[in-house]
Amino acid sequence: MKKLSKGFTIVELMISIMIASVVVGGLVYVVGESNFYLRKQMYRENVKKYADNVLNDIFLSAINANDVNIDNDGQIICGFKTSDGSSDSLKVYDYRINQGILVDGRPIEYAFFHNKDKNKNYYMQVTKFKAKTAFDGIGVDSELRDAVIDVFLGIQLNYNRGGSKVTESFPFQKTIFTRKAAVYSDNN
Amino acid sequence: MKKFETGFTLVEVVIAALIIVVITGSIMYGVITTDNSLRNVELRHRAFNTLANKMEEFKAQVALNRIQTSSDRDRRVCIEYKTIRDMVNQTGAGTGCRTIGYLSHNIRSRQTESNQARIFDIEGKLKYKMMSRFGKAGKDTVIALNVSQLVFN
Repeated sequence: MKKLSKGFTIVELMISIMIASVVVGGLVYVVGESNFYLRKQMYRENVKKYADNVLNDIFLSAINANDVNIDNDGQIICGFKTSDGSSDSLKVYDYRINQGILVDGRPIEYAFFHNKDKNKNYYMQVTKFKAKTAFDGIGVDSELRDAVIDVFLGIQLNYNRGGSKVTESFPFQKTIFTRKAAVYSDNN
Repeated sequence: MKKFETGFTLVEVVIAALIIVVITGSIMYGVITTDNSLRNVELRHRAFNTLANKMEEFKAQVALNRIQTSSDRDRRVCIEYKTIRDMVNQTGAGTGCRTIGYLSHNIRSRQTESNQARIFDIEGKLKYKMMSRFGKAGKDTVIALNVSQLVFN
């Protein structure tokens, strides 16, 4: 009873504060890490969603187009014709590093590209957009070679962790059997 | 009040330490399991995309009557590339590949009574290793896709 009525010594107080600090510090660290982990997963999920939407849009255009032109500058041009065979319209896929994939010069409507200007916490950049024929080997029949294309999309995700900048790269690929004939123009 | 004056016994301290170890272990186990589950979901997504891409190639071969091999078993394919450059250069299952899979396929002509069209059934299977709890390659997982391609004579 004597000890309790006397209160705590400075050593006891220091030890209890130290233990409390370690416990609270640990909790703060765990909560901070969980929060960062969740944010990171959300960023990654947004990148995947964007890539899926873009590649599906290209897929739908390519399978319905009468001809698909691809070149090494990262352009995919889908040509559509009327029933009498005359040229009707074109759909041109292009890219800008900080704007994402553009169709006829405009961003794809339902694919949200988180660019540098809109998001301070994180942003995406297109590092690669390229299409090429899937069957490229020697002796491959030209009809088969022209009919199947591979579309590649590389997206870089940039975000901050504390004071440092983190960068992650995500490669995506979609193989498309264009049904009609694709025309491959090699600019090299 | 005697107890306060004498402090804790060794048994009490050991029990308290054990409780802390169990709680910490449970949290760590939960974090590792969640992380591996997410990784497995991502791998499954990648594997599905790889298989869907290969099925497009088979459909083209069938539709254009240019079947290269009607069946194949456990051909090495890359499910996940390290960089976009490796993917574009198609380094296959070499150094640029992070996760390898094994592709099997079978293309069969279906019996039909039509003279105007033929139907081909294409079966594709992709085998890969899921991640175990501690980040190592775990048990084999197989995903399968079956499609039919109509070919007009």
